[in-house]
Amino acid sequence: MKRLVIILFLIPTIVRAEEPTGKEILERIDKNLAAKSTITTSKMIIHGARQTRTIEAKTWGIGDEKAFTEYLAPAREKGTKMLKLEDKLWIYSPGSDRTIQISGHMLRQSLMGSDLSYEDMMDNAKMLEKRLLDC
Amino acid sequence: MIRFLFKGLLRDKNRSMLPVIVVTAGVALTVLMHCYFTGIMRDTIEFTAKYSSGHVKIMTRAYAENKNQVPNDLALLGVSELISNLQNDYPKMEFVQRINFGGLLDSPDENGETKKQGVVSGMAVDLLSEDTKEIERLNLEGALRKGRFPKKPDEVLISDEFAAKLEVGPGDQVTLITSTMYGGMSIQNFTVSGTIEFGVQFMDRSGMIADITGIQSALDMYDACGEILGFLDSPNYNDLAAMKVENDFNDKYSNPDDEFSPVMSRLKNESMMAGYFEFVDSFVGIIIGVFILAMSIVLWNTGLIGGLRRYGEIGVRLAIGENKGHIYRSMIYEAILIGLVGSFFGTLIGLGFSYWLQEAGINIGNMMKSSKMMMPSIFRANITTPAYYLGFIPGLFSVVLGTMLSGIGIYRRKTAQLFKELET
Repeated sequence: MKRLVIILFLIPTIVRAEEPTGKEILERIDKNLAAKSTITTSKMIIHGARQTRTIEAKTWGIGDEKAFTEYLAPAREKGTKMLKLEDKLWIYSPGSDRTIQISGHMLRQSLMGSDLSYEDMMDNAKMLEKRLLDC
Repeated sequence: MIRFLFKGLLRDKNRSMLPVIVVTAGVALTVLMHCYFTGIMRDTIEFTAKYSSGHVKIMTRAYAENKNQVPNDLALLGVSELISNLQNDYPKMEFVQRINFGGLLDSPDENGETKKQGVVSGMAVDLLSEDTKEIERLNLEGALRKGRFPKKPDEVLISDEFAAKLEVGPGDQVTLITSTMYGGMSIQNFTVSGTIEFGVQFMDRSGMIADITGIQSALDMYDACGEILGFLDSPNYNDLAAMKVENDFNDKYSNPDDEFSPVMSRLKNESMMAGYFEFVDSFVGIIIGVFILAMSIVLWNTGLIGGLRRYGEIGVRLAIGENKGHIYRSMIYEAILIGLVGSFFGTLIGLGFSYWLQEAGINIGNMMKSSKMMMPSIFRANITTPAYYLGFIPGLFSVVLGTMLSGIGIYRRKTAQLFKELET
């Protein structure tokens, strides 16, 4: 009985000795952040030089490679849709009734007047990949 | 006396022909150089005024600080009222709205998918008002290659080269993808009404001209514009008049504590032009000065050679008793005559070539293919009043100075040695 009590006391020490590595933690975070499919309604408040705008959008995503976003507000942006498939991005504008692939220097332009660029939006890198790149 | 000397020069071609030819050539080159440099200066200033800076330019203070980035989010608002006030304050001046913008221009295929796409550098000007002078000011009539001018706000002109790259022509649709004044995405369809050739490589690569109302709608800039350009009554830039308007306007309308208050800047104070004016003032002066100096040395040398060649003749004249001072003076009078005749013909020839360059110009477009600077591709000479008398400075003074210097030798000659010298 005495021996059993000693072994039970030693178990946490043994467990602590097997702490996960940084890589394992990042892998678990990536796993937690990723979902098979997501539906997100988001609100982005952009403080411009002259006015503050609120952009509302609904996004349907599968993994982190495919996403479809529909802008809901403000009125001027309403109905604009974006489709991201891996490293390609298309935009549909109801005003012009055109679907246009965004490429080249346009990818570095501001997304709806925010500090994000389309390129940032296309960024699919997992946290693990980003940290490994930083090292 | 003058008649006598003139006859002498005409009859003795050895004495006059070479100096007159050298003076004529030198003066012609001086006049041509002066006219050409003045023409380049005038062309560049007027081109800049018409395309980008006006004689004066109004922006918001914040826009002016970052004008190289063309920050349309910092554009002027309430433009109609401001222009109306300006027309009352300065009735002789003309004020026009301009919006510069960039983005992508996309041409669709038969399925509406992207066929070709290119970076566009656009300028919105008033093309549709009945009394607009912008078409004439930007020489769009002469630049039109295919199609016609826009008749509706959703029609645009694009450069001929850009149209070929996008595989579009008059009547075809293109889509402009850019940002609105408030940062939103703007995707707007336009119809190409015609193609133009700017004559400026930077604009010919990716240029687009649209009506201001069409672009105001596309960029969400209702009653707003990036810049208001003001043009003085005189065709050529007058810095003193522009400075007066600039000071008046800024005292009345500009508030240093409000970054969105309007501020006026005259052409000479525009970022690139400030340096250019100083460059022009100094560089053209230096170039012409150096050229005149070089020509003076050449012509001076001609005077010296003339004097030395006449060593024997002067000896004979001294031998028969002619006074040294009289000989020296008569040589200077001859030099004045040679200088005047050479300068006259040189100025005529120089003005002739300058006139040809003024009308035809020199196309330097091929040399500017990789240039991002907005400069005219064709430089023309400009015949100004100084061109009629400027050539007389090197033409007259250098020959006279040369003769005066060489003539000093007359006073060193001794009568006792004259016959000895003449025998050799």
